[in-house]
Amino acid sequence: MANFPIAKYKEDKLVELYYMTIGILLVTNENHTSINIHNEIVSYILKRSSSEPFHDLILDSNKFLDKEISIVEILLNSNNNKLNKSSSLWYLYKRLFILKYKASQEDHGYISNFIKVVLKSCELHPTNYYAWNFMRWLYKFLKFYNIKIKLDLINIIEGFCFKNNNDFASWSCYIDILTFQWDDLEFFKFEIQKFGLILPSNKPQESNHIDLLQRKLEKLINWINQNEIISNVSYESLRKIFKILESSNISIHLNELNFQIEGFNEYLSQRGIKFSLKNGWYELNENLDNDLILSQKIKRHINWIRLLNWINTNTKQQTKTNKH
Amino acid sequence: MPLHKQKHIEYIVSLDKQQKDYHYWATEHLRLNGTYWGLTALCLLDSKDSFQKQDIVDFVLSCHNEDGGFGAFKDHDSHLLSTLSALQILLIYDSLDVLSTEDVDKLVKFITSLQLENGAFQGDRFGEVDTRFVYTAIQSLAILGKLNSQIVDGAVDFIMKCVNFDGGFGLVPGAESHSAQVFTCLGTLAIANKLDLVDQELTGWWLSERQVENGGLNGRPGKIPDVCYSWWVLSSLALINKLDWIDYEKLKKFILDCQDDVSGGISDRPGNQVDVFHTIFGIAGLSLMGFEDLVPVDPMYCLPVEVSKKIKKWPYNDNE
Repeated sequence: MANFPIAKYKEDKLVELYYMTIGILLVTNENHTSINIHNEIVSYILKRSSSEPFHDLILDSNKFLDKEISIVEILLNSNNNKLNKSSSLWYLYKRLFILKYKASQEDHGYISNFIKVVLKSCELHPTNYYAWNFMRWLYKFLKFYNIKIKLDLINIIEGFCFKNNNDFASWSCYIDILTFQWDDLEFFKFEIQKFGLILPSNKPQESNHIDLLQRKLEKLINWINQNEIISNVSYESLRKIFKILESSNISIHLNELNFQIEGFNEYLSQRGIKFSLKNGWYELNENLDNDLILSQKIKRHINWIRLLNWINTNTKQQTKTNKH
Repeated sequence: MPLHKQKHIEYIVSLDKQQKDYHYWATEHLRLNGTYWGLTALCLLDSKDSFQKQDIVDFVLSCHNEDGGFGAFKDHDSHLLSTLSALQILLIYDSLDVLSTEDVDKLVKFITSLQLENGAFQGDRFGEVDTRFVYTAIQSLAILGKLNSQIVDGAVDFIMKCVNFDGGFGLVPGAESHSAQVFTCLGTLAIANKLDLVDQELTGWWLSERQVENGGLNGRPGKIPDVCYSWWVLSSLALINKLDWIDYEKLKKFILDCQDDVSGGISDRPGNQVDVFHTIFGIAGLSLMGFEDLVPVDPMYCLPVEVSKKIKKWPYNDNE
């Protein structure tokens, strides 16, 4: 796997090639050849920047890394969905983050900008798989290297989720962060070492993880009920918390949910309304298109039933709710 | 709506005749993958001869690089994604013998050099790791009959670290479950003869929830359906013997509604622009459901069953 033969090219040609790759990156995604050439020219320029700087106006100076980061950020924050969800570009962004981290010593003020770029991309492209995966990785990075930033990342992500209640990628990231465990970092450590970073020797300790999770669970259930959330996303997101808390005292939540479900089942029975759960949808025995309020209540009701069915089958917890 | 077979054949054949279009050149980096998608769709439509075999084999060889791998187009860098497409095309045409013993040795070296200590594969020298690349590497080596215990065991170990609490799989350990990643993970395990490691009830639950009210399948909770998941989800269910967990009639209708009934081709959703990617995966999904007289597709390899029969199954009896 020979790298691009950079040494063959004079400086002015390399500059032209660098700009050419940016042009290609602007109009295509996952063009591996272009990304390889781009990445290798960037690495070459960065290696040379201190000892033998380039004379080109843009490429010459120690600010090249920041300029390169800005270019990738423009792509990730473009409204072209193929670019803002490009797996290769997100991987490139991760590499640039590592380079910035290595170059920044103790001053980590740049991290808030990375977070803003991720969030912007996630706003532009709902359920952005690779962007939210980057956010997960960034959270682990901050925890692992014990880096304090001014922003409260958990609150920011929670806020995004509450505003975007049908965005499963953000909810999945949020729940993963809430349920973060130091024992789950094997691949993260592997990748960090692949990037040439040294692992810290001391493992930071967490306390009251289960207590925090129980409080968050209560908060999320209340939020869903108070805001009368219809989308199934937040309900499904609770599955992981219940799974992790399965050996803890969560029966109070399950009992309340059962009580709520039984009450509404009784109401539906009195109205003569029957429903049957299908794969990812349900069917009713009558058309309720003219009763929006009841239709939405039924949707919420079914989301809770689906959650309890999942808990019954896939955790040690047993609830009273019957499968439909 | 009927399946417009002839129109789909004509649409696929027309794709290589659009060389004056900007789009043709803007997608150059997907050409070898696109050729595999088109050829496989033609095979499932029982129209393999609509492509000129020699032209296609010549094109594949034009993508062959000095490092042993294949790029997506002439002078493009080698990548596992394009390498698998090259091998699938050559296998369909019974033309693997255009590669000399030395070519095969270099190709195997190219692929295995991308396996990491943890069993995962990176797609090329860029270094991106993804379960897609594990699958493409393992299927490529399977086509060449060059799997070995060290490679397979490492890949299986890595894949099993990508399984989530919900039964789905992500692109790396700890990543969100995604239907396409589920396929690549189950596909790898199937080739490795290790599907017994999977909690098939839980995975089947997650996969079956992907079918939504209009019959289509989505890739993740809350997402709108897309024809390509007719392959990623359905093939995954087929691998764990749970195809009947999907409502066939609703899904068939959804796929057929995504056809362009004038010019052929299938789109992601009804009324959208068609492309060859959604055309193959729509047709392959229909084939898995035994639709009319479509040629049967193998859920493990996304190749016609008659073609995949030629692949030596792991574990090999001779030297392992």
